[in-house]
Amino acid sequence: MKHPTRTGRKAAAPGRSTNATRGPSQKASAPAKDPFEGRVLTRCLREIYRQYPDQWVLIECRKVNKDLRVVDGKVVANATSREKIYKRLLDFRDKDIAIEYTGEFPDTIAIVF
Amino acid sequence: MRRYRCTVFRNLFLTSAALHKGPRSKFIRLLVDTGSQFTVVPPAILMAAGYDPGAQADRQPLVSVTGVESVPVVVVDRFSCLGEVHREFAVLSHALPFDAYVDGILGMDFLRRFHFKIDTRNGTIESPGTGRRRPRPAG
Repeated sequence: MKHPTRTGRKAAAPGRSTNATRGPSQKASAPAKDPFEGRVLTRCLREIYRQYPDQWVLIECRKVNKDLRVVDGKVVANATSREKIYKRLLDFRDKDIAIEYTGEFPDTIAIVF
Repeated sequence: MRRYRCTVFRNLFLTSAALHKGPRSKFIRLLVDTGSQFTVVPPAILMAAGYDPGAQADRQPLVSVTGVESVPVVVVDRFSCLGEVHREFAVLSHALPFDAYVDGILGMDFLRRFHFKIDTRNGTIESPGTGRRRPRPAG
């Protein structure tokens, strides 16, 4: 049997177990669900989404990728409502700013325009 | 052919766009909406980007599910989305409901101009990638 690292798979980080390192009596737990599944997020945005869950944030952008997603930036304002964050947006007219909502669409609301 | 992945939420496709004026840009999230004739951006974002929706003489009657109203038409110096840049792009200034969770709407005016193809199964939008940066005006 080939070692996982030789088949192109990423090596496990120290302290993390993988199927390859578990004993035969240990059951493999289900892989953790990606909390950001379905979203197009950069590493920078993932970090911001973790730090500011379910909020509207303004990010001062230093760099975006071809998808116009922030790859380097810092949060300059955050709020739980879009109305509040739009008011703050006027304070950053002279900056490159991205607006993000880090929460999910609620199950209870249907959106039709 | 270039392919762009959308954020998919309960059958809704979201993509990023940028409004530019001079050296400054504002990056927003738009709902891809083939049921919308025009691209819609809230007045607050247009103002933050350096435009004045209230000063626009050009207005467009807008029919939506909530009724009919006349909204300002704002010509944006540059509008970027899905790898394409549209210069002097006319958008409607209209605020979406505050529980919409998106900033605005990417309408058919932009989607058709660049011949985008929406792959509903994979949540992607394909661009022919013509590299044409200044499209012809709509006929």
